[in-house]
Amino acid sequence: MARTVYDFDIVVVGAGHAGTEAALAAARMGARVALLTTNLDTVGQMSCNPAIGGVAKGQIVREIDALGGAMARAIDATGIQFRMLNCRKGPAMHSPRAQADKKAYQQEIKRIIETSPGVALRQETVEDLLIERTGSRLRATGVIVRGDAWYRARAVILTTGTFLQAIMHTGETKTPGGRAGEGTTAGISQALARLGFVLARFKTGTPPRVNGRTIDYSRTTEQPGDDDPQPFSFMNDRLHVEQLPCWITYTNEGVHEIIRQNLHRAPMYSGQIRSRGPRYCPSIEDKVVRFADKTRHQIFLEPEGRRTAEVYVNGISTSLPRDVQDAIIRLIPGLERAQIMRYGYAVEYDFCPPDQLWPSLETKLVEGLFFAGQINGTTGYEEAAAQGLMAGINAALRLKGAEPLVLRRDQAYIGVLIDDLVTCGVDEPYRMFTSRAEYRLLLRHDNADRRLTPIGERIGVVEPERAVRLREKLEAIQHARQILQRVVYEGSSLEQWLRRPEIGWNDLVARCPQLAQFPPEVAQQVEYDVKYAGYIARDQAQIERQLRLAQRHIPADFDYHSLPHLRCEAREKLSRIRPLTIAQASRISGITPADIALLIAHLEGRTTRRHQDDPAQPTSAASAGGEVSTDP
Amino acid sequence: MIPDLNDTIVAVASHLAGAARGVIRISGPDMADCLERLVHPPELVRRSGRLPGACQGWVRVAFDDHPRTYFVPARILLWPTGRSYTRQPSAELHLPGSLPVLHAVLGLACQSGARLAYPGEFTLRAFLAGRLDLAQAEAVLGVIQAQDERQLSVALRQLAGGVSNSLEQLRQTLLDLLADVEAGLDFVEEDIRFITAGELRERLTTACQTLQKVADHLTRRHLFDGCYRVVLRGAPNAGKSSLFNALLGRPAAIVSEREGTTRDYLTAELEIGTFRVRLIDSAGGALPDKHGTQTPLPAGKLDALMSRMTEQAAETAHLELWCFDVSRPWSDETLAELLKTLPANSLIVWCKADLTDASDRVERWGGILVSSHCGTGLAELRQAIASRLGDTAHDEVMPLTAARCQDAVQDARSALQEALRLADCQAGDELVAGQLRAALDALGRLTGRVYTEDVLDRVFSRFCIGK
Repeated sequence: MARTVYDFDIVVVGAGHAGTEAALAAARMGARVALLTTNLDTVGQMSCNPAIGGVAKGQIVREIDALGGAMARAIDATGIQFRMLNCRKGPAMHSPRAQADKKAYQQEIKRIIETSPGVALRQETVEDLLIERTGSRLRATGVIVRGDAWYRARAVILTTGTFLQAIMHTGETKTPGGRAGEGTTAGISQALARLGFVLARFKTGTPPRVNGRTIDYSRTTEQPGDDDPQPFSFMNDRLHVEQLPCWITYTNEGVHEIIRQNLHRAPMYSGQIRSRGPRYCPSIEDKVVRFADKTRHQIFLEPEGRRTAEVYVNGISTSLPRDVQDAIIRLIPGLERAQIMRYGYAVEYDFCPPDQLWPSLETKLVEGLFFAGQINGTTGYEEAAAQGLMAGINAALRLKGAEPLVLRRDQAYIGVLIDDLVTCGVDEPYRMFTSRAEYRLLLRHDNADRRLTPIGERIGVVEPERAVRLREKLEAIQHARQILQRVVYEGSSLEQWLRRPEIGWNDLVARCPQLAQFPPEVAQQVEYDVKYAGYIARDQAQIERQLRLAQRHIPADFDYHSLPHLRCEAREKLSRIRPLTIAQASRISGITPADIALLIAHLEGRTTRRHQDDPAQPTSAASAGGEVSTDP
Repeated sequence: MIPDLNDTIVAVASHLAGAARGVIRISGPDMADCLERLVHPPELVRRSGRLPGACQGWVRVAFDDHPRTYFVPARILLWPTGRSYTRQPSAELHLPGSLPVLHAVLGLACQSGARLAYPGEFTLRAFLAGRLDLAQAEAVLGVIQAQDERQLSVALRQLAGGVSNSLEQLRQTLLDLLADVEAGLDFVEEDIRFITAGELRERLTTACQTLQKVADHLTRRHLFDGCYRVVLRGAPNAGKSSLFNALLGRPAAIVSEREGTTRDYLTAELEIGTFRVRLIDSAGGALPDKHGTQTPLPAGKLDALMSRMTEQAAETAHLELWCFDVSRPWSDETLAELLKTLPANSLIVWCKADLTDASDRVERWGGILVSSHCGTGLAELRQAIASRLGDTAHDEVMPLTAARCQDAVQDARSALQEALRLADCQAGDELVAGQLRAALDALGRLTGRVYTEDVLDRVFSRFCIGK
């Protein structure tokens, strides 16, 4: 039988949130992409809760959008409830979140892919990787799929989610598979292990879903969407959707008692599951055990879509046996008669500890092989999509022979995310929090376009209309700013007025009607720019300092064993992580300023010629040699 | 914190203890601007144009607790361009070798645009400028790395004394507070009230007060002044005061047969070897534990006070001379037990050697045998003291380390005050969190770094978070 061979520029394995963004980004940059998934009906599937965004995650969605990604447009088109979280706090904390119509979202993502000329979406099961070996160098050249076909490509992006050697647990029952009703992949795990990748295991979980028709909503509290819903995408001015409410209820002591009685049947406690799960997504059994004094835990009832009655019971993620799940549900106010449609489960899966990646998300072991999403030990749709986007961009840049795009920590949450992953590794599934970002005041959802679209335009990953739209906005912002500086009211410029905490944009419009011409998104940017200026200036000094360090590059093959005075711990860590700049090296935990000083000294030593004698050196009491004993 | 080569840095670059001259070195792009605010007349700084030069002038010196500015004569060496040791604009101020003066000049330099150099930073710059070869630079940096950790811990112990604990506690408090504030920012959908505005203000105020206390303590505590503190310790009537007089060569302390003759402590300065020593004769206290042969002192207010003063004197001592009356019938078990409990910086002195022959005891237990009465063993004791002080000399807190401590505490304090101001005007918890981080970073320069994970760990261990 003849083997079929397909030729592409890039192959993306997996069509979840990471894979779809990867394929779309690479295609926008001109690459011919094959996007392979085991099931065409689960493209862009939300395996867990039916929501996009949230604190820090919403900012990421906006950043993905600013770089031309699909997530924001898809949720704008298919959301059923939109809320701006943290509204009562400062603008840096405002975070968009939306409930999605799960099926509609998935179809919208699929539609976007189907209408993208550069992407070939195919149903295939990848069984092995094609690797070319030259001496000790390994290079990815494609994948082998079930049915004896090869996809040849110059770069391969793996976005396998929870499907590597996945096992689902519900009580004592174990089923192979990465998502309810689906299978698992063993071939890729084996291929990675064979190549020398370190694999580890994580665990995550999901709650039961119930039939909404059987919920007594009168016993719950309604949580409506915002009156004036804000779109996620910078390309959308308004949202035109009818919003659906969510509902809030609580567990109680009765529920907790049942859980306590059945702990021996919970895989997390019986020893059946040993791998680590995310602490911020604890199962209900975890919550009951660890916070025994809490008499109730909050539960959100989230509709899964407009055309289905299925409701996601957010807050009781569990792997307890079916009968216990039934018993728990019956004791929750509003859910007394609720019918479970899908039982909750925990899933264990392989991931590749991400310190095996360069900041471009290319693996250190195999050239042309990129990892994105849960395979890197992260959790969350937004985190996955962000990595997919960057892997797609960097795979495309690699084909062009261009430098990879590595976003900095002061440029984007995406930069924080990837830098954390590749520099610090993970010891639990990684989720973004705003507290992870040093420059939180800069990394706002409202200015993601100003931060990132120009970068996207430079590398060709954003559509021209987006760049034009931003340019017009920037011009308007500049114009408004000029007016504020020029117009004086009662002895102070309007800009000075705006700096006062009690004065807002609308107060200025009252004093200077000319300002009424500016649309709200422009006014908002001007107002934040002026009000945050002092704090941002402080950050800026710190950023410039980091930038200077980031400009000091470390060769990828630098031999840390050639530094005899380096401490053992530092040598081990630096050799493993192989930071590419001094700035990155300084962020590795346990690396001290003295280690960095040594490193700088060595790197400079390779390039700087020694100037031994300088006639201009006057004699000095404190000569060079004296410093050992005097500079403590 | 990673050394930024574009900062202007300052450090003391001379030997500190008792040197006739003290040298302060400044290097970096803003050297001239900084120096103009230090020297008088300021024109001296730019007088030589681009050429290296030296001149005589004055340096401003102001002390925290003194309103006046003094002018101290100084020789000023200038390298206005890159033709210096570090290939950056550099200067050296050669001043009288007085520690308070050097300290004050460092402080003023830091207010004038320079920052304190990290250990080895001048060396690093010199290396980058090609002034040292790699082996030299590495050796220097390696030594400095080892010294720096010890320096800081010594500094914290000696400078902050009893408050170094509260510094670590304060760091923990601030981390908890930051965790609460961050939790309120990141986990808005939880039904948990992480911290109220009132609590935030209250906890910030308390933290500010603690830090104020530490800061006060740091400035009040005098720096090492080149004089080593040697404390005489031991049971009452062990012969401490006699030894004190004997070492001094004159009767300064009243000596009697009665236990407890010395009620407070006496001090006197003398030279031992090359060291200037402040000898402190403490009131005898009960020995570290039950030693059988010694009647414990009657418990009384005065005795409690005496023993506290003795403890305080010992706390800052470089060397403790533990005196034992060799003529007493010590049992071996008692001695073994007793000597085990002595602090590391102790030297055993067997007194009253003229009353009995006890050379075997010395042989067995170590220490020096002296007779204050006849003067035997005193020369040997002096030698032993000098040798032990020589060992501890490098553990002394340098003004630079002290200044770094003060600097860090000062930075932390201003950040906390700003946090409190922001909390007061309800400017937003994200801004308060920023200042809390700045305060923790500053304290982290002394006690260890802050990691984000540290904060998250606290959040997750204390609150039930997540759906």
